[in-house]
Amino acid sequence: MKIEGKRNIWKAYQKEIADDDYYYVRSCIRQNFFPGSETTFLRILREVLKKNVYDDQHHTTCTGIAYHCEVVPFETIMTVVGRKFALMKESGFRNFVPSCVTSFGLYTEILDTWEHHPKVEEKIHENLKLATGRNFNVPNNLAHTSDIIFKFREEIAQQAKYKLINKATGKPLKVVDHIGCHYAKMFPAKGVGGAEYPYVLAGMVESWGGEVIDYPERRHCCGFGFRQYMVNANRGYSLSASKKKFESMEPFKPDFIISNCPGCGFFFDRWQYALAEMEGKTYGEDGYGIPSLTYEEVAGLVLGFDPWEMGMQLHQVTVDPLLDKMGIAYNPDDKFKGINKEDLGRPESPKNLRFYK
Amino acid sequence: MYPEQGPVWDWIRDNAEQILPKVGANYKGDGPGAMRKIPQEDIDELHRIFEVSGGLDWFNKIEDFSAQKAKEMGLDIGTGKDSEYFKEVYNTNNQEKHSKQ
Repeated sequence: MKIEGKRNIWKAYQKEIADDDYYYVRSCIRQNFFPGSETTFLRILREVLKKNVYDDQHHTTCTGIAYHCEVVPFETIMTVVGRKFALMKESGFRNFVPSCVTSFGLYTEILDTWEHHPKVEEKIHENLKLATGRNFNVPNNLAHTSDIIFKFREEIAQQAKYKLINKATGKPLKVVDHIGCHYAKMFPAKGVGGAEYPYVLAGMVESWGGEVIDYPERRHCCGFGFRQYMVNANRGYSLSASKKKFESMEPFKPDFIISNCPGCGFFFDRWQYALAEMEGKTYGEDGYGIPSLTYEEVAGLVLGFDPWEMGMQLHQVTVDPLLDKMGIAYNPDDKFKGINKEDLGRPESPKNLRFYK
Repeated sequence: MYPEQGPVWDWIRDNAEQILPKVGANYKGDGPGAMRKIPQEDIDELHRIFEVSGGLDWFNKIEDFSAQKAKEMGLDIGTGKDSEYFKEVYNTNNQEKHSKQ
């Protein structure tokens, strides 16, 4: 094959990511699970990278989880998304940046639908006009928040106070990367590296000094998957999928997991607790679990942000051993204090999953 | 309903007013931010979108057919999470229907 042909093939694995002026939309579940990660994203963009980002109070849920649970029709979710695009247009921004991988997948699905079926887009314009009087344009650029951090990973590395290196041994930390299924498995061309070679998180880990583990179930779904979690009777499927991954990664002794999806990251944290309490099994060292972090938390640690201001005390798998490994200066006494340093007591310790030193 | 959320989740819920602002959330507040109160005019717009696009009709259809099914099963449809029908659908893993024979 000629070199030009090869270049064209690899172009499909690249992604255009806008370099400034972002319209930011939050994630419903992420706000509840790890609100500090969204705070950290904005702080990195504004204070570290000096970017212009608009945080709009008027945007709402995209209704994506309800859509995937089949209680919201496609026409309704498309109109809700049209409203978000209208709010972006009214703000003067054109680069749309969702915090949620579920939403990101839906935006790609909806934009692809409109591209191939322009009459459907016309209908959504009519719906939105009738319901709200608003008009929308599709974004100039759609990038997930992890794409933005990936794009600026070297700039973050240049300002790093800590590296993803074990301070005691001098060796790179071993990291499991987990890409949310809806990031690039549905529309591979919309993710960095596509579905086959997703690099969005591995790139961050490598730039910040860590080593990515390539384990057998690396690309397996976490199992959250909306319907199988929403209904209690189905949750065994969700838990079993995560367990399959934990069993597969355990022999490689990962120091932490990094995810770009709200559901994946949260359930890697909580299912380790559930498995420990159900079966007495823990996957980390010394009875701890494997810390499950968002990419913003990892970037924040590298930049020297206070872990408790990023909300890392909200994890059920304690992060303290990881902070110690990295040699991060933190105050353990502040971990469970409130905004005014008031004593809030301490969470009860799980029976089998080690939570306190 | 969510035992897997663990004791840290209970601690967060018990201390939401003090811990969520510490991590930058605008908990139940006006203006932008995580966990903010959504302005009423935005909720009203969503409601109109659901009316126009068939979302409300779909909800009503789900409610109507759920009530029919509850009656067929001899369960009280009730309302909210105390509904007998909801509890059955939410919690029961029917081995006759949901397992591979």
